Amino acid sequence: MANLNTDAIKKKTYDAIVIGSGVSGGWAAKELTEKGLKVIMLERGKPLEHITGYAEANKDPWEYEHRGRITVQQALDNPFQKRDYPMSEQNAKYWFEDKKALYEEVKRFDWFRPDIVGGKSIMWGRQSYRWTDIDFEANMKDGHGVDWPIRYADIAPWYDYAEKFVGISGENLDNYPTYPPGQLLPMMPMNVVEADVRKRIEAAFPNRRMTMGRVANLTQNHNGRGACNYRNMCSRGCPFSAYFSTQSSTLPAAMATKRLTVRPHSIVNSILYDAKKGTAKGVLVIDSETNEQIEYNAKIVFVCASAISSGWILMNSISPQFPNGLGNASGELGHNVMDHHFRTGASGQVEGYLDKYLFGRRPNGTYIPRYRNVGDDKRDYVRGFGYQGGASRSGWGRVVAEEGFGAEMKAMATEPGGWSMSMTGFGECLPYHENHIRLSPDKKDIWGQPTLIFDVEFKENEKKMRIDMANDAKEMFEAAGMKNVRTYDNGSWPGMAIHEMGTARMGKDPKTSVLNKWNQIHDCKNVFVTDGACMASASCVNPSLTYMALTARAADYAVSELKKGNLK
Amino acid sequence: MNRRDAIKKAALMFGGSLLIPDVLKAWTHPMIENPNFRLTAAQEALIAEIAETIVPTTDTPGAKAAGVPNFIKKMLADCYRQPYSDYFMKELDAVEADTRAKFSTSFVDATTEQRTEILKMYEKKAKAEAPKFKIEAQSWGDSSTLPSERPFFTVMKDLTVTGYFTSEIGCTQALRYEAVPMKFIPDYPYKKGDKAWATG
Repeated sequence: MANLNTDAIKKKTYDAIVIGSGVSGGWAAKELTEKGLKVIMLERGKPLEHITGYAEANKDPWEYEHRGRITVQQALDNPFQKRDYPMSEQNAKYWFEDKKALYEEVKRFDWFRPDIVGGKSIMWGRQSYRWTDIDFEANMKDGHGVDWPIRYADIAPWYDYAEKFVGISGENLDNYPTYPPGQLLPMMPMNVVEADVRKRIEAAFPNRRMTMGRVANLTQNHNGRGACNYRNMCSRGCPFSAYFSTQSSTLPAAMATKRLTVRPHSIVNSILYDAKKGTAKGVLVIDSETNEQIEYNAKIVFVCASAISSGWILMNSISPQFPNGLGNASGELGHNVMDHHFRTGASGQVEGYLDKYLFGRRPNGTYIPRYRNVGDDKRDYVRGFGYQGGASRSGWGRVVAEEGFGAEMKAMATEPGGWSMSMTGFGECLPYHENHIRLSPDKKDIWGQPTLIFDVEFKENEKKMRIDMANDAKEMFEAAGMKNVRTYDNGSWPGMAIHEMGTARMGKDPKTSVLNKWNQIHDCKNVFVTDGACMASASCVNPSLTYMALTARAADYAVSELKKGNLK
Repeated sequence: MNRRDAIKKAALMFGGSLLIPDVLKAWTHPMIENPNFRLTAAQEALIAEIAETIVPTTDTPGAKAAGVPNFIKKMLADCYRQPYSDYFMKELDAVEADTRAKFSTSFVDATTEQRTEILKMYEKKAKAEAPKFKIEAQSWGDSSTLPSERPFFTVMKDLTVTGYFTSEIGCTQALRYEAVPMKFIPDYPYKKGDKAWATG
């Protein structure tokens, strides 16, 4: 902070500061304003107006001069993001350009950073699953990481609360220990092939079920938002408000209270600690456009900047009391970084059904919830995985890889090909202390802020699990009567699933964790971290719904503590 | 593994440096953009006719009517690095030279049968050269949204087919296109001859 000119700092005061405007930040803003607090939500990215800001949302394929592909210039500007599909010509403006804040990789880490109000809630995959006690008890039972300070009973009412507001379509399965019932809208339908594969898997494997993904896309009008129009162009922003994003859902609710201020272009440099009071007094912001430094003060701070960025902010919040980062008495801050490993599974062809096709583009696929290491099942690894997949008839793209050209090829490409189905496992990654991020001692981003060093890898447990992820998929597809079933493993690097978590884990003991059971920093009671940073383990399910539930729960607690005078 | 190592390894795999195509040697130079990309009128005409041979006019318009030549030009200028587009243009010139040597006419004036024979030759060549290109393509990036630098015919066909079936003509005349389906019907009837959907 020596490089910051404190004379230039302007002071502004609110009841609460929310850092970040993604899934977690949006929920924090909604809950805190609805409970009567005056809140400022700080977002480092650009403004993005709901609907009118989605400039790409109604474009046809031919309106893109590169037809969705990125340019050499974009690849040079984004040496990390160019590795995988999320950034495309259609949504490139929503992503943060890597070159503005490069990072170092002791081992490969794919970090996808949004650059907009709404954060990744605009581009997210929308799969929304509940954890169970199998997840919350895992660390305690197999000894990896530290025990969670909460159990399913603590979070279940908040899952109900979040699901009812968000609108999640899906199916409840009876007697499936890893798939607790939810407050769901009607599920999206399976196509004829998926419905048949489902029956055959159930017949062959009594403890495995294939269902439709639980997805935060509406199958009917809900809370003033419109139903899905089946365009499958979600990541450009939805003009029908048909999927959950900050803009479609939590932001309008928070704005309706007239107690929310949103400030884009606001890079939070650090949380400011008041040694006399023993609490945080506010945050220091750098305006990304003007480089102006502004201090905001508040009674409570919600840190929802994403797992990696929340870790960064806490590590960069140095004071005599916290020389190694705010709340880092345990030494665990920045450690235990996790992500799901995926991109391995199987695919195969399905004979017949040539009198059936699809109408509409369903932005969702099939899901097989975890069954490994559940009940009596014991493998040579711990934890488990779920499968996301789907069946479809191939389109014109299949002729590119095949031999031939001319009129015959053209005719073939204008008709659909046969049916095929594929699925990929999403596997749990253990919390390893040595998997960590740290601040670079010398390298800075374009705003003069320290950049990050990533030292994260998947290890033996994940590698062993991947063998099952491929083989089980093949076994199920073969049992379903599919042909030419092949396994694949396209490799998986941390960060790629964009389910990064763990940099400020919850725990019972301040000596081994950063946050308590209320997502509250053990020794700085008015700072709450409720995004992926708080996770003490990773489960194998997509995590956003859990962040929503934890955020709402923490906000409820924070306001009640504030009213009791316990956060001074 | 850095770029040089990747190429050294490629050399070992293919039995010595003599087998490294020139295009890969060029890639050992620092990364460069492609600001000065230009096609001659003859090269543009050639691209248009190759594209039309790959996706010809039938009962629906072909590649030329759908604007595919302009798309290919745009992609070569913006989405491929200069060493690759240099290589691509050399191959274009080779297509013309081969047509003249074999049929004593330019590709543009050649019959469909003659064009097909020439392009089949390049299709075969692309298959043989694919492994050499794969290594460089991987070191540059494995994104599904970053075009990969593959043998001439592979890229020519990919760009033509992609450009055509994502064009307005391709989507709405050769295929069926529904911008806003509004509903999802999981068992929609199909009979042989019905067109495929443009977008999945």
